Amino acid sequence: MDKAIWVLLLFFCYFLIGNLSAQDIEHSERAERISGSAGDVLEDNPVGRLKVYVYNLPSKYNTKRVKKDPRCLTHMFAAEVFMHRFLLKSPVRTRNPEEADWFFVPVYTTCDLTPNGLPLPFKSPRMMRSAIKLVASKWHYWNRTEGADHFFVTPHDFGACFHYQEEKAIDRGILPLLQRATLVQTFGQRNHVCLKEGSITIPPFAPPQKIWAHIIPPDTPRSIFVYFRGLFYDVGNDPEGGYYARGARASVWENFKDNPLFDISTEHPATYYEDMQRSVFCLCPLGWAPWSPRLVEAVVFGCIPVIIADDIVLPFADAIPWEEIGVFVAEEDVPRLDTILTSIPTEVILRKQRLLANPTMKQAMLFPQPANPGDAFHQILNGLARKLPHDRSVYLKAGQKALNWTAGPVGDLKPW
Amino acid sequence: MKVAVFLQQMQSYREREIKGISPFWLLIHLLCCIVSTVLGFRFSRLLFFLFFSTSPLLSPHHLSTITTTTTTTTITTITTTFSALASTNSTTSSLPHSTALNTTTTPTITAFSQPVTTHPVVGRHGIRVRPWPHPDPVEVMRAHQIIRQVQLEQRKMFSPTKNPRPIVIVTPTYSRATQALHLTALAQTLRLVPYRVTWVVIEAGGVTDGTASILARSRVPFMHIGFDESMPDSLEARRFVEAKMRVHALRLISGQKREGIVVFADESNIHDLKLFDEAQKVKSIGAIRLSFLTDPRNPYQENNLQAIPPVQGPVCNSEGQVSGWHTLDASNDGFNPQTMDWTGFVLDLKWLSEKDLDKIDENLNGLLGDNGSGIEPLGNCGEKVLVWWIRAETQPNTKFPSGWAIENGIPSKSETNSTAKRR
Repeated sequence: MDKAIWVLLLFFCYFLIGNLSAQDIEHSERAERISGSAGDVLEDNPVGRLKVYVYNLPSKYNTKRVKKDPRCLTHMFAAEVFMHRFLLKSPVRTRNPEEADWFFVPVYTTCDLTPNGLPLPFKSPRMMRSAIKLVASKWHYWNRTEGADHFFVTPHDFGACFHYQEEKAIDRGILPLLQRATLVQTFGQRNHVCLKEGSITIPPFAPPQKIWAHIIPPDTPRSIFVYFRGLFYDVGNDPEGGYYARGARASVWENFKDNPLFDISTEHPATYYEDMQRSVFCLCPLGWAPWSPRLVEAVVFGCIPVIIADDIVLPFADAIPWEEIGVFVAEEDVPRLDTILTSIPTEVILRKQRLLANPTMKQAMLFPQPANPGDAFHQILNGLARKLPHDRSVYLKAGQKALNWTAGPVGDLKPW
Repeated sequence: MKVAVFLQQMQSYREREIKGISPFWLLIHLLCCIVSTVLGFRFSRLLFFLFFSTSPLLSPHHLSTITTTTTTTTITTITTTFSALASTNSTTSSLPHSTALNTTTTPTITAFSQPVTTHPVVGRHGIRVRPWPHPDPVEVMRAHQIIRQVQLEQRKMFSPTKNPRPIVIVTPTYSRATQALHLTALAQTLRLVPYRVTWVVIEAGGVTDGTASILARSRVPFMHIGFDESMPDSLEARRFVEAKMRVHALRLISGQKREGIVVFADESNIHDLKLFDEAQKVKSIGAIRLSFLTDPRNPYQENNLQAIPPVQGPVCNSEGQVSGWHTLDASNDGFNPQTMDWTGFVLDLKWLSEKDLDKIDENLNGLLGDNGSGIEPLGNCGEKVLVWWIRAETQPNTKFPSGWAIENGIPSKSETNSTAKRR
């Protein structure tokens, strides 16, 4: 009699599981699972895997800057503000610094905007230095490791090099005081001075509400082959051409302005987001810096990104296999871009679209408020969690000093 | 600015150990400066590189500076070869041989303090343009194929069913002036339907050659059936005969026990392609929203400035179930099979084959039942009008040209009656 009940129960379970897996199969036909070099980590939950202590800095470093200029909340560097706000309310936050694995220093270094809305990085090194000095003097956790278990969000053009011109940024290098800290930045280029090993590359901030307001029905047929809107020549800063984007954008224009497959222009149409959803490929060439918000927009709208930036390091590169999702074109191959794109086999293109259709992929690129599971905030925490536990060498012995507090240009040493 | 550089370079030449070269190079340099001012770009460095690409005097960092000369699009071919040469050179060497040579550079060029590996060089680059920057027709065709495949995949992903059923379209017709106009338009619509379509055309008065030729040109798989009665003149009577023709067609179709969907498409109506997508959802009998445009001076809408078109379709409650009906006769808004138009309904073939066709009369009674229960609301409960009823007909006795042949050019006004031949 008991055996009969167990058999019935087993049958019932099989029935249930059978139903569930059928639904999964249907869902997976539309989207494919994404697993990068670190494994299938996009959907990991960081809660319980790490503890973050958020320093309570005076508001002149953070909230006062936003109050002074609220444009800091909508420009593409707004990740620093929203990361701070997310961490304050997140369950990974701990108020006991003794048990913290990571320490977050909330200083908004890109919130000094020109009237046009571009951030001026000239005071940022001094601001950062001042914040670190405060942290080092008021709490003892900085001196314990000289910042090796602290992380900062530096979303500016060239990260912690704090300059918008590449040559000057390279000359300055990463701020000496941040040599041991983990940097969370949008800039990423291999073998570049401004990308430290162990940094976490994040996508630039794109306002999620604005994006979601422009979603069109997904069965609208994609009829544009290649789409791009933006500058090809930066006439204000580089009138002769060849400097901006290392000549790659100008090359795209000169080669493909007459090509009917390429819908490229410098206009600002009101239907920009809708047009991206009707395109198969979206160009994401470098500008003054190799990263651009176009990557985020392309991924969210299901348009295959065509990345034209040599040696670029894309966001969450260990969690997302970008080679399988996007198309990488070397800058010297730009004149052959049409040949390259039309020679991709159709199955590869359809697979890339299936990968892009995965909702976890789209979530991982955005910074929604309030935070959703699997979004960019959680990916940053996952990245930090993967770096745990800290190496023994992180903790300095008594009296051991690793940072040079007087290094760097003289102008940086002035107080802020 | 140029004078300062010139003086600087003069100094550096003096510092060099090799004697006797300076005046000669000074002269060359002067010549190059003049040529540069004429041409508008740094000509001297290009020449330097051309003559001394294998010389050990030149440090690799000097070579890397050549890659970053300013260029315009007209001379990009030169620059690309230089940059290729320079990149190979820069990978093999490290630091400059003599510090004296460092002073010959101007401050705008590359930072050479970085470790020299194969990574993009900062500074000015050439703009690469291929010799014939125009589309290649083979590639354009390939791109169109890619777009088509992507769209097919999209349709497959977002279509309401995984296994679409073939659709049978039932159209009553008769030979008259506007027949070619209507049938061609409907044929074009049916060619756009993304499912397998069989077009069953029933002609009143028997099969005629004119209709057959229109159907043959349509490139839609069709079945041409004749019906013995001929079409009467009055509108009311016409509707009656059309209904009989449809029932006749249904008898022929339901004899074949197959999977499919029956859509009634009158030749003069306008169909939204979503109608066929919605039809795939039907399990027994479904109703869609049908409407026709009225004269704004219509007596039905005396009080409204903007006429609301009469609509036939289901009305749903919040759970999505049918709770009422709109009918085309606005004065009588209840479910009445006699006022319903056939084209607002879609049938499933299997369900039809189980019904007794003798009970179906011209007023849809046997199909719809008494109170319309069991009819599925399609198209998001009839939210969008999927069929527009356009009765664009001429007078019954209108002469119509079934073909024109203009042999002697377009006739002028005076010759209209005589030269144009009618067949």
